[in-house]
Amino acid sequence: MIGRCFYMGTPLRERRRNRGGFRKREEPMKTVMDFLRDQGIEVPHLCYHPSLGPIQTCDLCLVSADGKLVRACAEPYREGMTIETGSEAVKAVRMEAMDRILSQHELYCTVCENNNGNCEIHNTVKQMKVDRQNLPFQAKSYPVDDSHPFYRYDPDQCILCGRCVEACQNLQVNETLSIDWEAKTPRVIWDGGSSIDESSCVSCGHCVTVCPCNALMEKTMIGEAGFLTGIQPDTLRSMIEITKEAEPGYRELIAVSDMEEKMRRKEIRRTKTVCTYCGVGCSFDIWTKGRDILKVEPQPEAPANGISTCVKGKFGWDFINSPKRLTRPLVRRGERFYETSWEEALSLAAEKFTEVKESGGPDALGFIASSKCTNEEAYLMQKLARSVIGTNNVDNCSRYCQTPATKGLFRTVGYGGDAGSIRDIAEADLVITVGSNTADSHPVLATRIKRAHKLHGQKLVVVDLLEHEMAERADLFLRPESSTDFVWLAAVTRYIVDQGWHDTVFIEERVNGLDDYVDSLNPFTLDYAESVTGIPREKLIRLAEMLRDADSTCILWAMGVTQHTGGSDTSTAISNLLLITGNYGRPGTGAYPLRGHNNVQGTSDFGALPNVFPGYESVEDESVRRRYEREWGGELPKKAGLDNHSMLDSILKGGIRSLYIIGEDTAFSDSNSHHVQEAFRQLDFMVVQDLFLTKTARFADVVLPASPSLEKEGTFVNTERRVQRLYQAIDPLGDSRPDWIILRDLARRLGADWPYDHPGAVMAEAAKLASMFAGVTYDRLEGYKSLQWPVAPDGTDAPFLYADGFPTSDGKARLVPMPWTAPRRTEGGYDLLLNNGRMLEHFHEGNMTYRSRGIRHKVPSAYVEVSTELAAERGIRDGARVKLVSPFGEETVYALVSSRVRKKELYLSIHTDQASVNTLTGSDVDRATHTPAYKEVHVRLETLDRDPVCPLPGHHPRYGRKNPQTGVEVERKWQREDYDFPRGKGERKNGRTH
Amino acid sequence: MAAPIDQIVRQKRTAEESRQEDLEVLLQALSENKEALLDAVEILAWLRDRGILRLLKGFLSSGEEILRDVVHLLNTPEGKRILSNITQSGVLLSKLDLSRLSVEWSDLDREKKGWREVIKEVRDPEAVTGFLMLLQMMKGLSRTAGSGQDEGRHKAGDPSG
Repeated sequence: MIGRCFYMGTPLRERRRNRGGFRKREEPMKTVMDFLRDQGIEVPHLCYHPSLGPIQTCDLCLVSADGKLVRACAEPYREGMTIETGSEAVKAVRMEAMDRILSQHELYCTVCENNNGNCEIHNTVKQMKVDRQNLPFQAKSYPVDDSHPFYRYDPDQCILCGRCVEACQNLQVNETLSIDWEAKTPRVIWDGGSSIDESSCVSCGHCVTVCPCNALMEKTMIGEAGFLTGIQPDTLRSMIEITKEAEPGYRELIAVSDMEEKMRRKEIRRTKTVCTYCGVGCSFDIWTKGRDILKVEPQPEAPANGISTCVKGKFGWDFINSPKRLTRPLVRRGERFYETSWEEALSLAAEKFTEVKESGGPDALGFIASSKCTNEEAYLMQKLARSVIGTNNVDNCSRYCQTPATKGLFRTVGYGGDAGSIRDIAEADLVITVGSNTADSHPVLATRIKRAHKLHGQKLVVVDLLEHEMAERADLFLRPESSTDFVWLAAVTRYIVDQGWHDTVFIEERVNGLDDYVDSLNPFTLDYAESVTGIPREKLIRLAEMLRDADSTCILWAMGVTQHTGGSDTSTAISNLLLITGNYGRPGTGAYPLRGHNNVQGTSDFGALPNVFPGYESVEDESVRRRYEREWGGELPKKAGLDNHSMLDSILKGGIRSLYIIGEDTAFSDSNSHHVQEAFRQLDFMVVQDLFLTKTARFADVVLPASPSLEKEGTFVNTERRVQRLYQAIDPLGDSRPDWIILRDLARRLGADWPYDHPGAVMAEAAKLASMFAGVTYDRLEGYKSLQWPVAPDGTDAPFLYADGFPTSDGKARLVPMPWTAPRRTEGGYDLLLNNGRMLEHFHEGNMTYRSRGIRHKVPSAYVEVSTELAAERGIRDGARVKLVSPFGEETVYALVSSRVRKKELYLSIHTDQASVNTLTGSDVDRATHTPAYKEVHVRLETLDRDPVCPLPGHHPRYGRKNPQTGVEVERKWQREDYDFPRGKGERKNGRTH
Repeated sequence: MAAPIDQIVRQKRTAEESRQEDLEVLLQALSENKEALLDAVEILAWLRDRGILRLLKGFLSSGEEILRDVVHLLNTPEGKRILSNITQSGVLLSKLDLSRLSVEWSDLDREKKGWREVIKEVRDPEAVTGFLMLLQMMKGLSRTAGSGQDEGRHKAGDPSG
């Protein structure tokens, strides 16, 4: 019996108190530079970056502290210190340091692509009033590395500040870049010396972003950024030499380039936007010249990502100008689509919707909103369904991925969102990821874990089928049998209770339902868990001990948990484990379902769900409904509507006869594609609104061309519940329109009096109606400002939930007993498990990322990963064409033999324009939310030919050889024979400053 | 029953429709910027009358080649010296306060000074600086004229240095 062990051992809370209380957020050490900045004194510097910290390579920030020369960026500030920043002696050593820098970097600012006001060498030369240099410029004699599709490295312009290395080693933690300090002429190297393209570089762009000059540069900038940068190279070379000869000093050169920079500002537009490639919610400035995207420039103040990006966010925007974009509305006539006017398309849509409503009632229509569109657009979609048509048949594609996680959280803690912020994940003592290939699916968030793990002693546990990058880095990697996460979670929870390691004080004060819950754990012994999951009991005990020993734990999970028949129950089990161990309501703790698309969270938050209004208030609650009826006018439907899955069933049963789908390729992304497509064929009338003629749009009667994020305004909510604004960077292409305008105009044609002239007006209405967003205004979201819901009317937001209680009637969380749903076995010789999910380079159905030549260069097509064991057994080599057959369909795809998968497990990316995994998936769904059980697919494999062409080119980062370093390793620079501390020859060798 | 289709019949605009649409855009711009355009037309007419427009047309039509030739011409020791001298002269001129100089001349006109006063003035530090500057300039001219050689001085950032 578990009960008898209840109060054995020292309760967790007690142990934490004995160790000196709960951990508080630690403030970083204050340096002399921090102190001077507080006083409004800016010391020159080039290697220091606020997001990277001190690097100590440039020697420009030297100051005299208590009579000794020190680097202000690294020297700890002490109370009472005497600091001199402007004495002649200090200025002299700084000038010496600058001389050394300029001997490695040729100043030709006016004809340089980086002359955009943010070139830090340019600005520092100006700040220090440098007029000439004493050491001449010396080329390094290495060629420019132009091999990579997105950026190039020019060693001759590189000052070896090491920012790129620090960013790669310790912020992105891909560990590709380093400086070869022992070379005769040091330079930055990739993987210890390969070309950039053939290295392990994942194209995240961190190095380019932090480069203080033009040594690392986006190729889209080259020849485009300035008025004189497009000149032929030999002419340009001559101009540089003449300019240097003719200029009397740098002040004049700087003045001329400053003028040219001001002219550029008129031509190059910088617009803040929010990335649409995952739920992390990276924001950055996007630089455009006309419709051309010159670069993506992240900013330190970006709340979710700071200066971080991934390959898609930094470089994956070519789709914006794809000739395949839809630019005019289309109407189906016979076997063809015909381009038409907005007037005709919208009138036809309104007329047909009305016809279906009048003949079949409002519930004969269904509405699917997009988790890639804005909150305002989700709000308008659900308002259109409920208020204009009169049905609650409205849903969004979070149904395909994240609804089970939300369900699990609603059951236990009351809010359907992350418990804290990404900062909490970074600060946790222990991070556990379950069913999440975080480095591929949420790359920027993964960097925070990798950094904390590498630098700050954070422990990492990864539970997954796939041995991906995070698994390789983990302190403990657990590899359960598919669909058995619930079992090991329950067993570990029971073991913790058995040992008396649960947080009795927390549970007593803040949690209901302990006894029933503990009883429900009875079957889940470690032995049972080992037999079901295949995880050895010793490893499960190790995990329990790590939970016991950690002051704070965050558990992150994604579709490896949710896309199962028991997805909601496993999500509940995760939250239960956190409650048992007291890991809610404190910094560095909590549950973190990692939202997939950019606005999975917001589209649901703003009511595009069949059972709730914005802010998750039930449509069946009369008082709530009355509030909306008063604001919107007219009567609203009283019963919850159908979700995506049920809508398809309803179509096939003759219920729903018309669908309106925005930004969702349901025919591709819903499971069991043949079933979905069969349903679409049965519709009387279908409207699809998208950027491209997707597989879904091909079934439509009317196709409306929409605008992507860069062509409109609005807001998204990221995985941290953070509401962020995006601004319009370029005009809509052709006659395409922002979705909110299309929705408004369609509603008007359906008789609604919708006055919105800007998305801000939509947000104002939502904030008025849903208390969760009461204090959200566009003014409060200006620029890089953001708000994490719930937001009080005065604008107070909630970066961290549950500190003062849970949003339940008595303020307590609930431990919720759940049964384990074993996966259905597929009969008939389907002997292989087809695991599936994301890859780093591509997104969703590939409509956007396959339009990028650079991304296609890295990953040209999809492939199925086959284990070495299976490959040996079946004689499969890289590039063999194989047919995968499931009870629901078959697909042909190239094979890649991979150590990431084991035995009879396969892995197929969900992003492809060729082989769709959903041709193979079935119609089983999560029992609570109807999310398809995409991960429970069994197939058989037939080898079609053995004439291999490897589907993954040799220049994919997977084949690179990382070169982990502690960072820039500046000590190696200081040990060089040719390095002396400025003005310190003979007495300050090896870089020591005192 | 709607089968998936992917053929799109583009709404082709006739040449006349395209022309009409372009004209509408132009007319709109003309109407919105009437004053500025009238001024611009006046300037263009003036440039044409004086042959400047023709010159510009020629220059722009082969701009890249001309730029390359000019730059290569200037990228010789003589060309660089011309540019350097121009910029150095600019720097020198920027340092002279000619208005102050004119005041001194007028002072000389009014005050009749004897040799004693003149010698006294020569001892003034500002006058000494002026004399030294003139002396340096004359020495430099003599040296340059005499040698006709580039002295191989290292300029800031000179890669050859």
